[in-house]
Amino acid sequence: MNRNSLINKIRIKSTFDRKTAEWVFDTVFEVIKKSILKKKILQIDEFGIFEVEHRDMKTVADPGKRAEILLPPKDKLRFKPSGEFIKMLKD
Amino acid sequence: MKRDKLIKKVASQLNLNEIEVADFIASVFDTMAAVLSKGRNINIPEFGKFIVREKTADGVACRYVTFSPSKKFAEEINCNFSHLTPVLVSSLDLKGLKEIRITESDGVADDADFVSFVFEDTETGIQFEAPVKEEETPVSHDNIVPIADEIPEDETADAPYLVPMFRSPAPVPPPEEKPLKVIEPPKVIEPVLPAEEISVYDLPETLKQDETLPETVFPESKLSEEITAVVSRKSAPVFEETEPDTEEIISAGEKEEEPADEVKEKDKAEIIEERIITEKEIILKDIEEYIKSKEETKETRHSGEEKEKDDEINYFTRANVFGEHDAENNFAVEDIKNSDIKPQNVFESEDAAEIDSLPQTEQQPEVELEQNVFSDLEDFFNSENGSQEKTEEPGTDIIGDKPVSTTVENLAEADTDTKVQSNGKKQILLKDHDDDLDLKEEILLLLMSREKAIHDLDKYGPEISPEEIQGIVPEEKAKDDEVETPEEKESGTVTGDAGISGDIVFEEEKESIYDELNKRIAELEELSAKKEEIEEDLRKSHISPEMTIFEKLVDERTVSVPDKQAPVFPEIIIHDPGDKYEDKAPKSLSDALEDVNLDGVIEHLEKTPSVIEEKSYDDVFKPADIPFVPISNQEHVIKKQRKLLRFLLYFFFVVIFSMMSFFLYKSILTPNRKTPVDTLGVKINDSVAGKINLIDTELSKSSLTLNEFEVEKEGDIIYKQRDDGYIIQIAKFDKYSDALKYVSGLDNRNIHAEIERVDLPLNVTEYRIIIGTFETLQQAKSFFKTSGIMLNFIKVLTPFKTAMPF
Repeated sequence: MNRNSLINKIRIKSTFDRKTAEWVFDTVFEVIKKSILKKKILQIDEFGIFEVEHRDMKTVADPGKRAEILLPPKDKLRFKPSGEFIKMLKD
Repeated sequence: MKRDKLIKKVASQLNLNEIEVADFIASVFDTMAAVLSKGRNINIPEFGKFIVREKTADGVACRYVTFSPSKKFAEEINCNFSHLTPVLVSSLDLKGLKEIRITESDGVADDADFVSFVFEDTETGIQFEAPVKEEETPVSHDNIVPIADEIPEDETADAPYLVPMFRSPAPVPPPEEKPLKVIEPPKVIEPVLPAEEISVYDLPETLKQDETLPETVFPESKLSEEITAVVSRKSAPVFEETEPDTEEIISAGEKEEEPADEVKEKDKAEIIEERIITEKEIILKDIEEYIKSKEETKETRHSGEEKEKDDEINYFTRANVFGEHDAENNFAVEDIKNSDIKPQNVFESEDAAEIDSLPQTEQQPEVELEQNVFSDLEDFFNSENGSQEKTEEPGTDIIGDKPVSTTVENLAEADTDTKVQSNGKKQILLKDHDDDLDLKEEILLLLMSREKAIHDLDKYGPEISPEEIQGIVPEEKAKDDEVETPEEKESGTVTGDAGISGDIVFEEEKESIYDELNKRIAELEELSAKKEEIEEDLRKSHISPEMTIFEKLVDERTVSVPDKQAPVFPEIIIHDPGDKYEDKAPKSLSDALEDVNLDGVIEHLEKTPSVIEEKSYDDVFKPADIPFVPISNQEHVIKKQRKLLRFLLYFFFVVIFSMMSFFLYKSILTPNRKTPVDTLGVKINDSVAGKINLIDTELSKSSLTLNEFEVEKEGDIIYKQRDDGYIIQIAKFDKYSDALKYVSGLDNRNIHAEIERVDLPLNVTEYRIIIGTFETLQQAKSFFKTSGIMLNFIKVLTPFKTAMPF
């Protein structure tokens, strides 16, 4: 589903017009992004948790290239759905 | 950060009510959850993708959501380490490595998460290593160190195999070394068969002791010994052997060296046959010797004492053969038993005169003994060998009571070969008999002579006269007569009558031979005919199409060839007609034949072709009648025609379809353009008179003023004149909303326009878009020229259905 179709769906329920809805929608996700970048974690009730994970560097043997590679450390965003959301998915 | 903080931040940023924002955010995540729970993915630009995946856990299918941030967002998150790149630590020689471990799981990993590659040190043996479950220790890159450095170079160089090892391979225990045992194959004991060597008897101890005996034995005692030996041979299952040099008689009662159980049944039969043959020969030889000795005994007779000694010796030898009791019973001379003569005295005297003086009473037992011996021998031959063996033996004929042997000596020399072994045993080596060969040779000679006779008959043909045969035969007969005649000449019985009778007999034999030969020739002819029939049948059964053609050609040729045995016609002699028949003389040969009335001859001559026409395959099947048209060309032409027809059909259908679509477009989809623009709002329809009245009434009701009229028209643009000036009608719509949308678009471009509603008859309303009032028409036109492009652009954007038709 695209952003526009999602906004259209949301606009039915809300009192905002489309432009306002779009504006608010974009603002929400910008705030989410900033908070994730800043605090590394964001918890949304009944939806899930966005969390940044750190991975240490490690050496890996690549049989294809016949070489041993040292991978650098990495921060990776991970989404963990909440229990209610998982229930919804299961249902 | 939680939701409430998020709401506050958003509301503060946008200066919106927090409640509305909270509702909106709640609705955002609720809808997202609903959409994802339906299994649809969500893509939010510059944030990321929520992807729904399916997996089976414990046999139950379930869905889970993964989030992958956008590239830009991921880079922003990983901004601290984004400048770092993977580094090649060391080039990896997989052959040199003993073990490589690659993990696929994130974070803390167990050994179970590794895929191990184990390498083998040696070429032949493959070693498996199961991953050992270590204690729960975090695995880091420091723990995984290549072991290549630990392995010596020599070993790593010889590790060619890469053995993938999966997570739970069962460790294979090494095979236990078992001591090898050499199992020798069982020895096959071959039975030793006495093929030609037959061990007979051990020499008796008595004879071994008596090796010092002189070679010459007293004849009377020798006779008795021979007789006893012959009788013992008959009764004993195995024959005795006699040495030709010493002529000693081996006493019976000896034991066989080898038991008969070890010999096979086949060999037994052969051995028995050989024994019988050898026994016969020995017996015959003994008989011959006996006859000779008997003749000698008639001349030279021993004295009474010496005879008694001989009888005593005979008794002892006989006692050895039959036992003492049998000797007493069988031996005829009872008195000899009680005599005191020792064996040493046997060789002292040998006078013929004394032998003649023997009493008859003492000679009678010898005669009786001889008769008994011959009768026993005869019975023995009849019982053991049968009548066939008697006939097969070439040189033996039993005449009366005495068997007469003609080639006994030769047979004895040829067929027997003696051999003395070192342990005192004697063996006889038998040779093959030539009796069967002789018979075969005789049979072959007979057959050859018969075949020769047949050949001669064929040579001379069936019409050979008996006189010619007589000319051949008498020469042979004359030779025979020459052989037979001497006695006859001596006796003087040969006469001319005898020769005539011989000729008659010869002719009779000849006729009988001819009859037989003719019969045989007839049989052969029948057989050859049958053979030809069978061959023909076989040929027909395996007939092929080429063969049929060939046979047909052959038949044609054979039919065309005239028969060798053409009908013989009388010769036609054309005489010189002379003056008498000058007028009637035939002009040609055909005329002459007609005169003779030999129509058959003419027909025959006409029918017989002069030259044999050789027919070929084409002549037989007449391919010239069929016009030669190459098949490929025909097919090509047909294909072309079909293609053309297909193309025409397609073209026809396409034309029809295009025409239909054009008419449909013209008649249904597109409105009628020819209708003039009804500026007054009244449609011209003269055909309907009733409607005109209605229009008039409507016009009277309508508020439309008639102080407006059309001045000029440029396409869809109509310039109209009013009382106050000139206006431009740029469009008209059926719906007010469309007209309003159009006007708002013009307003955004700073073009002021108005919507004019016009109620037309038949409940038709129009919403016309009007621009301005201009003082002059030129001003209106110039305005339109300046803003005409924009107007047209807006017109294009308007919906088709609502737009003004043009």
